[in-house]
Amino acid sequence: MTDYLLEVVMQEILLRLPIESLIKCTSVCMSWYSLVSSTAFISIRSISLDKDDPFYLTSHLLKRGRRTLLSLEPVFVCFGMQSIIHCFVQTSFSSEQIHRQLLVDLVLRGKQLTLLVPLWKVWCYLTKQMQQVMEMIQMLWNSDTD
Amino acid sequence: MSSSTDSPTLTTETTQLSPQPDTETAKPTKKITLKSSDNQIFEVEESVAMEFATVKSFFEDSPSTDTVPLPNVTAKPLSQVIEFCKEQIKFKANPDEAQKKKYNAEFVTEKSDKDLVDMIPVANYLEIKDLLDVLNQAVADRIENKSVEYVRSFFGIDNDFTAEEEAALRREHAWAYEGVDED
Repeated sequence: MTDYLLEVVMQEILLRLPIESLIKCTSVCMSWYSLVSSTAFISIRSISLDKDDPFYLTSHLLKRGRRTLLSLEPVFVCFGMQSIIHCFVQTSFSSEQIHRQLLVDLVLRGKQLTLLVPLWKVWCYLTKQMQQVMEMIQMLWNSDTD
Repeated sequence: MSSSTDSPTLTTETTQLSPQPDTETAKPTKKITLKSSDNQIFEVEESVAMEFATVKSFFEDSPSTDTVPLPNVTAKPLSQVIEFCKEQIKFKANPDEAQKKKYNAEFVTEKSDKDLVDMIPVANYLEIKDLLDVLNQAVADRIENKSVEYVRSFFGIDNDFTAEEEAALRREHAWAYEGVDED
């Protein structure tokens, strides 16, 4: 049996997993469960294991929307226009032919549209899809407040 | 385009990686001796050793030492880590992002699961950030969407949940357990 990797290293590895895999990893052992459900981890990865938490819902939606761009509608219904909008986008690293999930938090505050990008190298993969999502959100935002 | 298709050079120099007897042969560049926990001696060029932040600070603290003991590091992962760093030095001297990416990808592809997992604490201890990034990503790729049982055996982790606890967890987030990749 190999020694368990240091928690800090394990966290680095787990952070690179898509949410579905990450949730599976919570039942690997107790220490992984504590790690993934820790506040620190959740704030980095924007997920929650608590079903009452909006983050849980969005991680579930992500699963259903595998390899497609999710409709923003359920998210709007859930949070309303005034609050945080989480938008999950699936894209592929065509160069590496690995499908990967990109999690992009779109935060609307006032009329300012801010794109919060988690630790991943998301900027490189800002695809056409992503631009369409942003335009859509801006459009909806404008029509709602005018 | 065509010139970049050569595979990274991993040829003659790798012979130096094997543990060597404790005798010093005169070389033009300064060598640093690293001693693994299983008492294997590695002679590496100073430039390579300075890639290891831990070794570097060891030398800054005690410049007169000639051998750096690495009590947490065994010979096999250490030799692989040295191999990686030697190549990175070449890329530093001769930046070629495409080749570097290719080398890094091949470096992890050819390693067994155990080799990767064993190298991670070494890269972490020696504070080689680039390597740690490469290894973490490689391990994440190998366990992505695998079954819980597969992940446990990958890392050699014992299941410390009771059957009831585990069943409850799986029930609670059942959607995440639908469909896993073949082992």
